[in-house]
Amino acid sequence: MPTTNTDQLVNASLKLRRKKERRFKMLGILAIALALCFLVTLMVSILSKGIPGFFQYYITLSVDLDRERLDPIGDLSDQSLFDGQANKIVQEAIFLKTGATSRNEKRAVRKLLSNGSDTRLISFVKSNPKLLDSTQKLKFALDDDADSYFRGFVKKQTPEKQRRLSDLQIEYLDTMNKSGLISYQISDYLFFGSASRNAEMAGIKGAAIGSLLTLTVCFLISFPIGVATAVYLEEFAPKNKFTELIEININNLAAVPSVVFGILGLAMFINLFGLPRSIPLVGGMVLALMTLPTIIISSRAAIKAVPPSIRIGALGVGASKVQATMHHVVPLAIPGMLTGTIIGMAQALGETAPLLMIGMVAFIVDVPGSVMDPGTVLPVQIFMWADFAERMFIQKTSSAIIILLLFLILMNGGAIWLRKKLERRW
Amino acid sequence: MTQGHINAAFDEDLEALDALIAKMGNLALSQYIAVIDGLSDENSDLHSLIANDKKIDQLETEIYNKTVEIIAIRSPQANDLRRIITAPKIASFLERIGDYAKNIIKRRNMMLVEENDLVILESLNNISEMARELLIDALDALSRKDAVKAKLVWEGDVELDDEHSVVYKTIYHRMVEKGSSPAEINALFIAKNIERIGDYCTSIAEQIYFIVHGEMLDEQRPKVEITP
Amino acid sequence: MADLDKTIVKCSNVSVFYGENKAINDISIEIERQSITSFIGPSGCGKSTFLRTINRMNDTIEGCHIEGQVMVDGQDIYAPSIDVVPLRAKVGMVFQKPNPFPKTIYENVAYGPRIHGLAKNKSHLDEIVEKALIGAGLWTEVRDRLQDTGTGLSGGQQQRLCIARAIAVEPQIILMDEPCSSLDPIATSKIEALMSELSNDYTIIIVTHSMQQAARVSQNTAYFHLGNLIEYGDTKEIFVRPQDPQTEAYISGKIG
Repeated sequence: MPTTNTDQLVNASLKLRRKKERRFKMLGILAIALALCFLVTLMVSILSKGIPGFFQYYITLSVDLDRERLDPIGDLSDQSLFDGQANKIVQEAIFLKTGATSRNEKRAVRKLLSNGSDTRLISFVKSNPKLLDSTQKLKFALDDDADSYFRGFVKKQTPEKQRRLSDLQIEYLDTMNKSGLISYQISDYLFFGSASRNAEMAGIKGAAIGSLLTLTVCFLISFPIGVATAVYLEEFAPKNKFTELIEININNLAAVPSVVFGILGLAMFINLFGLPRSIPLVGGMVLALMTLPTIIISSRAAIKAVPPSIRIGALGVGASKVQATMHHVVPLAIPGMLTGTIIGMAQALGETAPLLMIGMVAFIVDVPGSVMDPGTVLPVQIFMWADFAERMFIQKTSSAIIILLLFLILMNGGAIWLRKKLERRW
Repeated sequence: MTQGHINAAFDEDLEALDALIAKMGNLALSQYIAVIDGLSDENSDLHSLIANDKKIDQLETEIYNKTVEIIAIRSPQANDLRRIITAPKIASFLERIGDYAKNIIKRRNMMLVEENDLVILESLNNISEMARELLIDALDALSRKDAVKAKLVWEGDVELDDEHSVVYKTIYHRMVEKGSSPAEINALFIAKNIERIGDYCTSIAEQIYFIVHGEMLDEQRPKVEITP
Repeated sequence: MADLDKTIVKCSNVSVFYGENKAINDISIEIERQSITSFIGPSGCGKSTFLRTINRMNDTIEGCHIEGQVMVDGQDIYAPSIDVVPLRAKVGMVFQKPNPFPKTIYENVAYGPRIHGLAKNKSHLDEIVEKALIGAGLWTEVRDRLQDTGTGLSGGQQQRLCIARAIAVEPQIILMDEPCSSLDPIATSKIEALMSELSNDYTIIIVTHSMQQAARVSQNTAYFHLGNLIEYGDTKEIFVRPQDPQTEAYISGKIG
């Protein structure tokens, strides 16, 4: 019961306040719901396209591992196996299974198998030399057109001339399927294969290693320089117009479009220093330039967050400024610095534009062995795959996106876990 | 006494104050004992009495200063506060007791002229002994902060007052019989001084009771009126 | 000449400026060796600022400069040749809010001796740590958990840890800037009792906003007001018969 004048006034305005609050709350909930809708749509779209990309169709064939034919020289060397008849052996196996005899039939059937089947056989022989001269059941990937048929992208209804597979090929595929020779399982090409024009053989291994090397270079350059810069600017630099200017510039650099760093890298590292294009070393250096402002800013914030009482306590005991900073402030700021660095690395992982500028878009088949070997990175690989028309590439693109997102989630999650674990009470 | 203060220096200050009071009390007591023991003896030593009296006065000043100091420095509370605030008062009572002892000896010296003065002096024996007991009890209660004993002292003054009446009547009748002389008048004064000493013992007892219980002994102290 | 031995800190005409603003106005004072001296006065009167001149902690404040002379144990500590690092080992400091390092209890105390090279080997360092913790009255409470973090202790224990940290480097003087203001009364009493013991070996200068505390613990008291030293003398004299009416007014609670 309102008893005083103030109480009455408060109660009178209460109804309007509650109404406003309810409205505001509804707006908030609506916004969140909308965002969630978008998120769900995005996830569903990616997952529905990408999950199938993790799987492939394989055909099981009985292969006669004739030693003399496979390993003519007899020493299981690469040269010998290369000279051997692995290709023919695989083809004979599938001709047998399908009953293809005429030249037309054989041509049709040959196209159903992946081009890399011989490589598959050779690597099997290399790892299991004891099984030579026996007959083994091996799985080989189907060609991407055949694979697309089973996924439903190549339809029987379309007229033959507009299809990628002939009626004959479809007949063979159906027969093999009925005989139970076709299986649908996790693709080992996606993770362990490198870039390839053949969609069924395309994989992210090269790009993943390239990303790893590039990020390592980026970390090794940007972390020490960034942390040292932050420590110097926060603790030791005199506070004057010059240092203020530096601070403004660093903050602005964080907002510069990343492609600009690519141009800078092109002009300086490649043209001026004469470093080769498309290598993880240069890619790492460009990404380091890009990540430095982020690391410096978050490191400065971490250092600022250390309470002055810690510094004063150290100074009071007779520590010099350097000792107080290195023994007390920096160790306490490391969690924040690391968190900022990991987030910066996660951003760098997803960068495409600057790396395109320095040429990491070339089609590289080999996995880069060192930072000086040409390579590419995961987002660029996705970018390239998105260009190709084959249906399987579309799916694999989405799969690669899922993999990239997983890495990003892992890194960001790691940063959060690290921050929680190392959080200290002052 | 319960546990000491976290800051030991505070305990030391309180003990120092207690020591001063105890010293003063002992001096006052020894003054009194010397006086009544020497009542029948002509050759008692005045000089040491006067010297001791000076010491008693000095101690009162010391206790006063120490009290002010402790209050300023320690900000005492509760029991500590009561102990400290009563110290100067107790000191002044002890000083008065010392003074009365001095007066008694002066009166006695004025008395010793004739032989039968000794008879009068004899009659003062009882009351002087009673007062001695009372003073010893009071000082004992003081040193142990014993409220029970203090109450006994407080009540025991009645008997002293009774005895004072008796002595008064005795001397009064003698004066009526034989006519007054300086001897009898001085004897009356001596008796009065002794009675006053008893009163001060009571006052000390009241302070002790206050220290322990935080209240003054409220009931009307039994008082005996002198009627001839 | 006997005075030279008795005096450990001698400030002559010291003025302290924060930029243009004069915070301490021409103060001269002599601090007695192995005594406890307290600085009292209302908020903002400059007592903390003045305290910090004795270990040059004001150097860490931008724009703060000093005029006048501060002699510690016969040395002019603002002479250009003086290195503040050993000075701060000689003149230790305990702060208002306990600020132990977020390290183990052992490490908190061992840090100072280690950086100053006071320990010959690990067992010597252990001894130094133990001695400091005993001196701070903390040893019995933490002897079994030296590897626990210092920040896990209670407020009073943390402050005693900070005291242990200060005495581990064997200072001559310990400066205390309102060390008990964030502690409860019992923790405060413990620290006050500790101060009496410490004053046998060290000279202690304490800034306090509690007059009662100054009265309880110190032998000498200095009263500051608006950057000036109003009165300085024996604590008992100051609290029983202050000479200056301003002192009297502050102590009786007549001014804020």
